[in-house]
Amino acid sequence: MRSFTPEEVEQLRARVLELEERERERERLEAALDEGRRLAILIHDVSVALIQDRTLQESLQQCAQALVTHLKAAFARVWTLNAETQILELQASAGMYTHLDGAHSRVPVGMLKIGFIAAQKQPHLTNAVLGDPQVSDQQWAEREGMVAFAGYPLLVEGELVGVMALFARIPLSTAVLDAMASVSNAIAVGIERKRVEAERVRALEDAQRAAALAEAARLRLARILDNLPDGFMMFDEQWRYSYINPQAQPYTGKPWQTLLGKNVWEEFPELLGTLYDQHYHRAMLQQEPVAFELFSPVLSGWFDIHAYPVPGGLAVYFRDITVRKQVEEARMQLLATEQQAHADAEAALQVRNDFLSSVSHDLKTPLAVMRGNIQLLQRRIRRGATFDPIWSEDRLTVIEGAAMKMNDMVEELLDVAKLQAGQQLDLEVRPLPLVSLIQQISTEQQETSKRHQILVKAPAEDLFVHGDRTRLDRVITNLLANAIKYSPQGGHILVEVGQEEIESQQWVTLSVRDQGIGIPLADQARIFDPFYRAGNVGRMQGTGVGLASSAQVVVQHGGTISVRSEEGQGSTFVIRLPHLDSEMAKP
Amino acid sequence: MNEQQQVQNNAVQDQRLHPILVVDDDHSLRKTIQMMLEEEGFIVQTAADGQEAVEQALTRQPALILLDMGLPLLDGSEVAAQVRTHYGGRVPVVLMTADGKAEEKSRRIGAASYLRKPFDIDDLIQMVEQALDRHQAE
Repeated sequence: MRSFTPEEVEQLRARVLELEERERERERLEAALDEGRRLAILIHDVSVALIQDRTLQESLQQCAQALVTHLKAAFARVWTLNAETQILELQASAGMYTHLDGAHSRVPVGMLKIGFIAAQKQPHLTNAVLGDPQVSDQQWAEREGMVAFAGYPLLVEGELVGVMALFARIPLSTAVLDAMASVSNAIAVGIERKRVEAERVRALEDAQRAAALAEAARLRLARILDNLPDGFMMFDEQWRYSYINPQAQPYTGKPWQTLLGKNVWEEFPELLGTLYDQHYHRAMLQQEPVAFELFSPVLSGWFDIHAYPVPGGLAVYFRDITVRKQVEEARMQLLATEQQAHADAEAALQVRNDFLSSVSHDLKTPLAVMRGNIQLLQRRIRRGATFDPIWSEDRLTVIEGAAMKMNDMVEELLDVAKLQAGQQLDLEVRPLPLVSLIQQISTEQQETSKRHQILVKAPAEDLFVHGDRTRLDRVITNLLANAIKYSPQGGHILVEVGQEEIESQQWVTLSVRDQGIGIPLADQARIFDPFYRAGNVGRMQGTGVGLASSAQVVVQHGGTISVRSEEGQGSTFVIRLPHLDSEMAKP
Repeated sequence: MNEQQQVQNNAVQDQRLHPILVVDDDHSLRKTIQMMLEEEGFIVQTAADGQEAVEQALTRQPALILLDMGLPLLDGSEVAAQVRTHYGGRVPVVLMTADGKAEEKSRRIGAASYLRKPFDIDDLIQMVEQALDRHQAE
């Protein structure tokens, strides 16, 4: 066997040492490579955890787990800062402890080593946990074999957002600490991004919620406006239609869709100068609510309109009150009709009372005459007075006259009853010399009054009519008695009889003119109605049937009766009867 | 004795100086009443309307007025009012009516009493005598 020279041995030893050194160098490099690889994976995992679409807590838990896994830490924790309360809230815990409650769950800034790191905004790093004054629970550290602690403030542009920390049972190399510094930055940015994101989401949600509320309010308002029983429209400040509810649409006069956004005065220039114009402008310009009712000839209806100034324009609320107006009108008419009917009934009742009073007065007067004269006769007989034939004859004549007068009255009442029943009179017609009759009646009537002078103007030769003597006597008597009665101050009463030709027919015309109170124009048309008396008769008694009865008699004779009168100046009544040729009148 | 009492006493003492005034617009009734009263010895004047009645009453003071209500020119109540204005209560009025409201009407115009047409001659005489007696007693 070949022996080695000392130089050779020395060379070999050196060689061995060199190889050993190389081997150690290789192992160191490998370890460094391995650490570098683990740190690279750590940074990768943390980055992935932070950009994943997870909650902040889930992301931070992944980061803590990556720290434990890749740095061979005993446990790692991440707190985030609640800026309002200045309390660090434990968000993630990985390794030997995974609970989030307990003593370190909520750490005020400045308390414990975590709070101290936060307050100082400075990392705290040590590979000598035992003996570190910052690590308060030394017994725990010794028992658990803790060697290293690394705590980093999580800062974004100098602002604290949290704290990251870990304990390890092995010392932490400079490379690890450098990597942790990078990781802490990444986590800080991740937290901030999540916070901003959360804020953005919250703001978005708030905005969405606000929008939803606004939309709900809008829908509610629209529903209310749409379902209003009445028309509702809105104009903006430029008088453009901004809203028309369905109830208003039939009244707009044009398709409502085309009106939206259009200026009302440009669309409907005919409204300028109307009540709409006046009131809407007042409401808009003076910012005061207005209310008015008007009749629209275009819509042929009545509307109750309210216009209210609102922010940005004018709200117009209107109601079709045509039916109400019609009902009101109908009610007013009904009321007026009822009142008229009531007044008519009252007047009719009054007229009938007056009629009864007047008739009883008229009938009882001849009765009083009859009874008085009978009793005068009886008295003389009882007293055994000497029979005076002339005086007795006079009494009996007066009695007979009163009886005949009563008979005439009863006949007249019967005629009035027929008139009221719409029945014809049974006339007893024969040739009648009218001038003689008139002269006889005038003489009789003249005897009843000293204040009046009755003047008769008549042709010398009599004029004949075909007539009922009793009835025509009553008619003429009535006219003359009226002339006397309604000219209480007296005066002339002119009675004219004549003959005239109208439309080739011969008439006998009788006119009676007085200077009395006359008949108001308003009453003249009704003066021949039964029970109608002129408004100016005052307390003068009358049945209200004399002229009505006269008119009936004259008309049934084929004649006419009319009146000309001026209140306060007197009246002229004219009767025309068909003339009967005197040759034919002869028997 | 004052002047008023003097006049009253004279009215009763001498009926000739103070006639009974009969007022009615019906000629026949006027004449009939006149005759009824004259048969009993009363002095009678007549008037056919309200105005004539007032004129006569004021010209010659009547002992009593027999007054119809429905009169031309002035009605019965106006005649009564004017007579009362002129003579106070010295001339009694007896109302003659045909309707049912005699009592009310006579009270309203201040009449001493009333007669309903057609009245009885004995009632007429009695009413006139009573009215004159009552008046004399006052």
